[in-house]
Parts: sequence; structure tokens; C-alpha cells
Amino acid sequence: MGHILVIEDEARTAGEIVDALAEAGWSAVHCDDGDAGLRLALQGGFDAITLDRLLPGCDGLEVLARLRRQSVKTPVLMVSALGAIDDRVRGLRAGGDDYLVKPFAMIELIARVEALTRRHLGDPTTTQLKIGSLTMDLLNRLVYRGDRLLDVTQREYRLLEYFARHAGQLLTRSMLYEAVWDYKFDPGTNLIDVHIGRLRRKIDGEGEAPLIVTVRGSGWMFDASA
Amino acid sequence: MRLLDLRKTSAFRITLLFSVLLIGSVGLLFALVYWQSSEFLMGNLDQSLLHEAHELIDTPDEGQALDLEELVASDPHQDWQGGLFDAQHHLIGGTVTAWPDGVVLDGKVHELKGGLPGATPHQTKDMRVVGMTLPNGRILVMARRADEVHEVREVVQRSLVIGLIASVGLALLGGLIMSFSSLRRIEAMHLATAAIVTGDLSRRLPIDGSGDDFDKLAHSVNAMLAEIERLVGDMKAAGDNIAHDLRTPLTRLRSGLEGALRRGGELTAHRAAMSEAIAETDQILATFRALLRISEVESGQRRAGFAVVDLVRLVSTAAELFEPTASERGLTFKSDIQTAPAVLGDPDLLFEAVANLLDNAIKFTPAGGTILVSLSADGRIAVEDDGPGLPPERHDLLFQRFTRGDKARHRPGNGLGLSLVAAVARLHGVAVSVRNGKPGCRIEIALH
Repeated sequence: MGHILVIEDEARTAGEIVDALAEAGWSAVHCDDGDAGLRLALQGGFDAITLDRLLPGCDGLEVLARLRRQSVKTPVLMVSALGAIDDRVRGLRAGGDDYLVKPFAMIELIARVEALTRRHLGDPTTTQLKIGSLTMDLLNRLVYRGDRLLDVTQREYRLLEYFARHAGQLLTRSMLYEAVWDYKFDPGTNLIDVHIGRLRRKIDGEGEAPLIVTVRGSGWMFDASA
Repeated sequence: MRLLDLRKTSAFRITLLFSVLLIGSVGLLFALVYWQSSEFLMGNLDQSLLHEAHELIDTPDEGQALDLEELVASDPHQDWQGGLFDAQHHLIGGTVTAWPDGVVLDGKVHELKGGLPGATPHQTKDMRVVGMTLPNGRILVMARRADEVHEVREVVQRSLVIGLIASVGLALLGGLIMSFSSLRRIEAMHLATAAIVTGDLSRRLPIDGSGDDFDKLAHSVNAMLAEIERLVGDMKAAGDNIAHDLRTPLTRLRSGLEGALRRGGELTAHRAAMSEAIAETDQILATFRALLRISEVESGQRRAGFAVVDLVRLVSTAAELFEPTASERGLTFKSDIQTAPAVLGDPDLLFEAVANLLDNAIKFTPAGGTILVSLSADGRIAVEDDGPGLPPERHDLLFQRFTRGDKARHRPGNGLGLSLVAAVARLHGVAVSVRNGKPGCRIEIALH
């Protein structure tokens, strides 16, 4: 797939991140301090960077700011133990593309790195989105599986649209929640799972292959071949 | 307490400042008295000298010398001296024995050192003198002792010195006493503060009941100490609760892992133990997150991000988010949302608060029950259920950190949900109320 630069000073965490990325098909390069990480990032050739917020040498925010000043546009996922809204805003304002609070489930990191390296499907100005057997009429907010018109609520429509636009990409609870519901809040429980379960029952007719498949227990993926 | 400390006290410094001001004002006052009284007396004296001189002008030539001698002789105090000379400075009469050099003959009163020739022993001090040429060509020289003026001046000067010494002494003494008493009270406060610093939060600053500045200060510091003591007590209680609620899952985590290690066996068994451990860890982390969130809310920083909140959208989104979960658990989920005016607040936190109320209601209401979320037209958000409800005495406890109903200890959750609701309500300056239904319970956030 591609190359990921992992700038993380805690050796064990870094090791696990590199392993998990490799398992997901990425080749990851690890670097344990800010200055060296910045040099590597400036050389380029990475599809994405995971950047720890607090680093020896050069602080994570500083690394990010310098990268952006040098017009390096590589997507950056900030990883930090600082989780207050302020810290998050600061991280994103400094040029981060996404922000992940420690500790995190590895699937969350993989899904977010994947999201950063992907282009969204479908031009936002088109009026129709067609993936596999699913057709979405974006103008009239209607959705068809084959020829069958599906009866979905507005929220389910948004959820399905998000899935469709990110077809083939691993999506987690929190990513779905952030994208489809407009309040910043960690639902924690399986609220989203129940919504997805309901959506699945509506979109998968008898004998049809499931459009949304469960990945590694706590993630989902839209299967464009279904 | 050392004497050296005294000079550093503010009372002593103020005393010093006032002493200097006092010296200045007393000095000024005396100078004024001195100047005014001596001017007045000297004026009188000069007046009488001129008066007597002019009397002689009107006296016939032959009687002038006699009149002059009579004037001098009639004064028992020997204040006067007088001499009458012809144009060639030859003595005609009077008590002056020779022509006095240096007397200006301009008819004005001048200072004279040591008297005129022929002065008596009493007339050796400073005198006032006037010299003039009479209309008949004779020259009149008259002098008068100015002793009394000088004496008055001396009296005034002496009073000045004595008065100054006395007032400065009094001021210093008063300052010293004041400094001593303030130093003593500060010393007492210092001792109390030192005890507080070393951890005795029950100590208070001494109050002597006089109601002075020190008492006022001590009162407000004591009130602050009481608040700090209460907060530290709360923190300790919260800490104890945290320790308890974290130790329990940590113990479960540890023993689970230990058991898996001891039992050995198949890879699937190990995998199951690991999954369980991860779930347990997530639970612990969720507790941490909730705690941090509450302290973030309680710090009040979020108030900076207040915006206009559409309550209708907020409550309907929350209802819509939770409805499937409630249905899946066999609960009837109803919502009654009226059009309510927008409020100023933090939309994300308010949403989280409503979500926590719904989450609780769903968690604690047994299958078959009903949950109702409502928004009234005057902005009251309420979540109602017909679950087991809460005994009234627990209603207040409900909103302290880490308190749950007894039975809840065995259910998922960290007991912080309602504490967060309370913190969010406090942040918005609104009240949360709990009311037991029949059965069940109703919790309401009144946003107006």
C-alpha cells in the first residue's frame, strides 16, 4: 500500500503501532524524536504521518508547524494524551488533519490513517452516487438497492451516504459518530452499533450480500462489490 | 518578636511619617505665632517711641530738655533714654551723655545694639532708636528697650522646642504601642498560618472581637479557609471513591489475567481472557475520561465557548440517537418536544448531559418499561422513566461524584454520568431537579 511515518517516543506504543500498520498492509518507519522525525518528514515520500504531541527534542506541535511552513502537505494524524477540547483545537489549527486521543484502540488509528490517505468517492456536486448495487439520489434524498426503494430515516440516509462515499474503507464508531451526528460527544456504548444494525436490516434484502460488513469486531466497511 | 522588627512594621512607618508631618505643622504654627507676636509687640513699641518723640516737637523749646528728662525718670523700668542736641551735636539736655554716632536722623525707628552713651546697666541690650531734627534745629535722639519683645520671642522659642519634643515623643510612643500590638497580632496570625501550611486545615486565624481591620481580614481569610477545608474534604472523599471504583475493575483485570496465565490451556482461552482484559481496561479508561471531563467542565473554561443552542434540535437528536437502543432493550421510548426558545450555552456539553440522562434511564429501567424525554415550551428538558426510582435521601447524593444507588454497583457504568449532568447545569447556572414518579424517576434541567 504505502509508507507511514510514525513519530512516537514511547517505544512499546510505537512498536505496536508499526506492527498494526504492517498488518493492515502499510510499511511504517518509526522515529522517536521530534528533530529526526521532522528531517524524515521533510524528505517526503510518506502517505501519512502519525505524530505524537509531546516529544523530546522538538515538540509535536512545533514539528507540525514547521512541516506546514515548508509547505509539506503530507496528512498528519496527531496522537496525544492531551484530550481536552482546547488541545484538540490547537492540534488541528497547527495543521493537523485529524486528532486521536491516547489511549486508543489500534483499529481506530488504522482507520484514521486509512481515511487520511484516501480520496472521498463522488464529487460533492453530483446528484447521484452509485456504488455496487446501491444507488443514492442525492437531490431527492432517495436510496435504491437495485430497483428497490429503501425506506430510511434522514439520519440513516446520512449514515449510508457516509458509508458509500467511503466504500472499501474501514470506519469506526467514533468516525461515524463524528461525521453523521453533529455533537462532539463520545457515545462510549454501542449506540452506533444499534443504528447500523437497523440500517443493515433495511438495506439488505433476503438473499442479498450484506452492503456493510463488520471488520475486526469494532469497525465497519462498505462492500462495493455487494 | 524583636525590637528590630518594629521598624519594619507598617504601623511604625506610618507613625514615623505622621511624626514628620506633626513636627512640620507644629513648627509652622509656632513660626507663625513667633512672627506675628513679635511683629505686633515691636510695632507697639515703635509706635510709643514715635509718639513720645512727636510730643516733644510740640513742646516749647525751653521745656523740651526737661520733658525729656522727666519722661526718662518717670519710667521705673528704665526703658527709656533720650538726648537733645544742638545742630552742632552739642548736648542740650536729657540722659544721653554724648553724641551717639551712627544714629540715622530720618525720623524712623531703627535697631540699636547696646544702647546710647550714658545707658544704665539695664540698657545694654538691644534697643529701638529714633533720631530726628526738630523744627527749631535741635536734634532729638530717643531710644527704648526692646527686651520685652525679645523675652516674648524667647518664650515662644522655648515653647516650640518643648512642644515639639513632647509631641514627637508622644507620637513615637503611640506608634511604638500601635506597632507592638499590630506586630503581636500579625505574629499570632503568622503562627496560625504556619500551622495551616503544615497541613492543619482546621486552624483559623485569631479574632479578638474588636472588629478592627485585622478582625475583618481574619474573618474573610477564615471564611476562605473553611471553603478550602470543605473542598479538600470533598476531594479526599472523591479520591477515596475513585480509589474504590478503580480498584474494583483493576482487581478484576489483574485476577482475570492471572487466572488465564495459571490455567494455561488453549489459545482460544487466552484470546478470550485478553478480550476481557481489554474490555475491562476500556471501562477503567472511560472512568478516567469521565473524571477529566467533569473537572474540565467544573473549571468553567468552557463558558468561553458559549453559543446559541437550538434546544429542539438538540433534544430531538438525542432522542433519535437513543431510541433504537431503548427499543432493542424492550423499552417503550417516547418523546414530547415543544418549540422552545434558543438558549446561550455549550451545545456539546448540553447534548452530553441529555445523553447521560437517557443512558441512565435506559440502563436502569427494566424491560417493558417506558422512557419519556421531553422539552417544554419554557426550556425545561426532562427525562422520565418508570424504573426502580430513587429514594429521596439519595437525590442530593446523586449529584456528587461517584455516587450510585446501591444496586447500581453491579451494573455497567462509572457513576459519573449524573455528576457530569450536575456540573454542566452548574456551568450554565441552571438547576437540576429530581422527582420520584410513581414509580420511576424524573430528572429535569430547567434551562430558563
